[in-house]
Amino acid sequence: MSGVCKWCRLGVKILSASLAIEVLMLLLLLASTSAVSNSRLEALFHLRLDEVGKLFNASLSGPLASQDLATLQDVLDALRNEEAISYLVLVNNRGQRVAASGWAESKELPQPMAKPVIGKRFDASLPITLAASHYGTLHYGVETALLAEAQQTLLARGALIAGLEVLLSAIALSLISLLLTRRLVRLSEAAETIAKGDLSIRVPVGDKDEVGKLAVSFNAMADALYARMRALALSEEKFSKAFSGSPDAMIITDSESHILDVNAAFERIFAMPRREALGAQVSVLCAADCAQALDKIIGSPDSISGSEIVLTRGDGKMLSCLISSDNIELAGSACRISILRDISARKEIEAALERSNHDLEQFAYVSSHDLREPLRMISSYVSLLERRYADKLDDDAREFIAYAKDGAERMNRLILDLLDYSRATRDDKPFAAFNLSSALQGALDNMQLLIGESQATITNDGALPQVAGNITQITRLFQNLIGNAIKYRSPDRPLVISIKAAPSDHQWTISVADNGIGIDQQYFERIFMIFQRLHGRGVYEGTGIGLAVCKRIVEHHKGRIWVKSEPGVGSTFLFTLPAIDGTP
Amino acid sequence: MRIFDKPGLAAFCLVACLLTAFQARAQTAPLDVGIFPHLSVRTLMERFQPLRDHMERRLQRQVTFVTAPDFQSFVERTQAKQYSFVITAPHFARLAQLKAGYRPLLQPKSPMRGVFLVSAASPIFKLSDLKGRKVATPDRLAVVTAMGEDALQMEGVKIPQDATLLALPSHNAAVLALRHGQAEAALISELQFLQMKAEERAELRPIATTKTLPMPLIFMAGPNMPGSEADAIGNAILDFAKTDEGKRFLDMTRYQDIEPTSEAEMKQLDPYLPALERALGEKP
Repeated sequence: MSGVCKWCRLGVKILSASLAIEVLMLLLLLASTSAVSNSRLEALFHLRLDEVGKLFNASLSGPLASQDLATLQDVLDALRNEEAISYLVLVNNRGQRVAASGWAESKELPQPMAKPVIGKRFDASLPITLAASHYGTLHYGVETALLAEAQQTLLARGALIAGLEVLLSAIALSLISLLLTRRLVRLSEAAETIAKGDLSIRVPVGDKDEVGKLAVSFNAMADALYARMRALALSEEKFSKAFSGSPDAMIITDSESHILDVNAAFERIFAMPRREALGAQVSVLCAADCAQALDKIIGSPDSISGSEIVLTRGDGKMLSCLISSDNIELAGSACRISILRDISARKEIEAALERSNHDLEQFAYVSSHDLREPLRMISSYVSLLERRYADKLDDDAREFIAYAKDGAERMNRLILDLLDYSRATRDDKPFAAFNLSSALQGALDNMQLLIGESQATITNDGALPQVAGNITQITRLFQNLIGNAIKYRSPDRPLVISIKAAPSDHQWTISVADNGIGIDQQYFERIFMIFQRLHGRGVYEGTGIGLAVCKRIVEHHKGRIWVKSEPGVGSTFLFTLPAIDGTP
Repeated sequence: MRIFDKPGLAAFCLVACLLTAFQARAQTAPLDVGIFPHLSVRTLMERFQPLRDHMERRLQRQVTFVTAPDFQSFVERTQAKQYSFVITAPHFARLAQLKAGYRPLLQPKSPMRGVFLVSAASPIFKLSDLKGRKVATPDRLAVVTAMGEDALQMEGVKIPQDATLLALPSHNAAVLALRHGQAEAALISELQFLQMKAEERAELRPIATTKTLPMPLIFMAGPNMPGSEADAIGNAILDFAKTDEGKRFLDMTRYQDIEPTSEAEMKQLDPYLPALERALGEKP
């Protein structure tokens, strides 16, 4: 295995440690066995000496008590054995040597030894007694060569067995280590391969032991890593493509609002090379008066969506942008990604459209006002003609005159409504904060008579919120919606109108619900178009301008209006108004 | 009359002092007591051990009982005055008294005679049945052997023509020879027979006895032993007979008691001396 020194290998470590422990234990065992065997040999030696002593005493006490010197000498000669008993000297209780074998007469007797020294002659003495009477002392020498030989043989055999055991253990452990480490090496090599980027490699599981389990876990980890890496690569690719291919400018900033990265669209939209942008403060994108607003968006801890801001390009030109910003984490660091959409062209179109609408409104107002003058003249002269010449005309003529008069009146009504529609948002007073309750109350006051006649019950659950807008237009809005509910009330039940307000995303949603006749779903869009009527003139009066005016007012306040209804049950008109400072 | 002049008195005092010192030293020196080998050595020493232990305690000196390999050696050693104190057979004692100057002191009270033994199932019922048989005896010098030979002759069994005597070292050796079939009969001291265990005695059957001697053995002081020492030893032995240990010893040996020996009783042993001296002169 590459990168692992010979002595650092697991197998070598296991083998070395096991053999070292085994050798140590065997040495301890040998030492212990040797000590025990020595002790046992010594004990056996003394036991044997005791037994021999009894025999010596039995053999010698009688002849000694009988003072039978010849027998004593015979016994000593018979007892002496060069290999075991090297000499025997019998001394009577007068201290006289009465018999000796293997020991010179003139040679002084050695002192008896307390314990044997293996390999050396053991000098011992034995009192010769009979019937508890001491008759003399036998001095004798015991050779311990056999003990030494036995001890050496024991040690040699022990060492041989230990050596064989170490050798067999080394072989067995080597095989085990080889089998174990081979699989671990495979795992290691697979891990290295994965580290190099090849996530497709897997290791064979083999036996269902711990290493096999490790291999299964390794493969599971590799599978998971492969899936994660693939997902990450896909995500990175998508992000990279989205980042680089986005038509909107994108910037990534750090927690200090330094620009970390920008995309190609940024370079194009802001006329600023990437290399200049990187590392710069984000405030480089705006003039001093908007720097604080931009910093507030970029440095916000929250997600910001669709805020308009005017920024400065690299060439100094101003740029209207719609900015969205959110927090992201890159390489463990908190960052922020912002998308800047260039809405300069749209703003210009909106401005032009605004001007066009204003001109059209002006035209409609002027036209309506001017059209009424000739219509009034036609109506006056038709009325004069009817009044002066009615009796001179036949019935058909009078009927024609009545048609002309009715047509003039309807046209006047239409012109008035058109005038009303065009004037609905002409009040150019700037939006101001007011309470919706005031607008509602104004509307109810204006409609007091109508409400009384219809016996309608109008409820308002809770206090209505503060909003920013034109109170006159919102009063008109309530007035039109409540009037609409009264107009299309059900003849089968008392009219109940419920007005509520609920907060939603940066705005308020106000609902005006009734239990009137309801509207079929197919007309939900149509009812907000100008001069669109769902019923004949004979059934309900009106020109179909009311809800169109409502829509115009709501849209003037950057809101939206829609309806939910079920025929025969009732209708709920809902519209949104922006909250003050974007917080409902 | 002046018995001693000044130098003489001084010499007398010196000799007296030396004698006193010598006697004192002699009475504390180890005492070897020779005992005649009428039993095997171990049996002999174990049997007399209570007496030896008592003597050691009483005399405050080391006492060693020694014996000899056979009667011949014992008698020779006795006659050679090797023993300062002996416990010996009656006829040996008379010989030692007369030839070596030993002084008889004490003797067991019980008399002694020999008994012929056969196996319980033996077809031998009287001494005349022993013709052509082998009789195990103690040593040929033992008085029992001599008395047994007389008894056989009186019954018409001549030795060695009619029967063979198998002389063994001791009384118990003779019994063992009978048990092991080496002999058809055994001749031992009756006292030794009575000292045997009951079950051992039950296997044997006495068929005849010998004449009776007044004592089984005699305690004698050596010729060189001072009288006071001999008296002390004699007193110790007499004292032993009064102890519990001594009574058990006397009961076991059937000696009954220990009493002083009289010259009259010693003279009763004279008839055995010629034969003994003859036997001693012969090679065994």
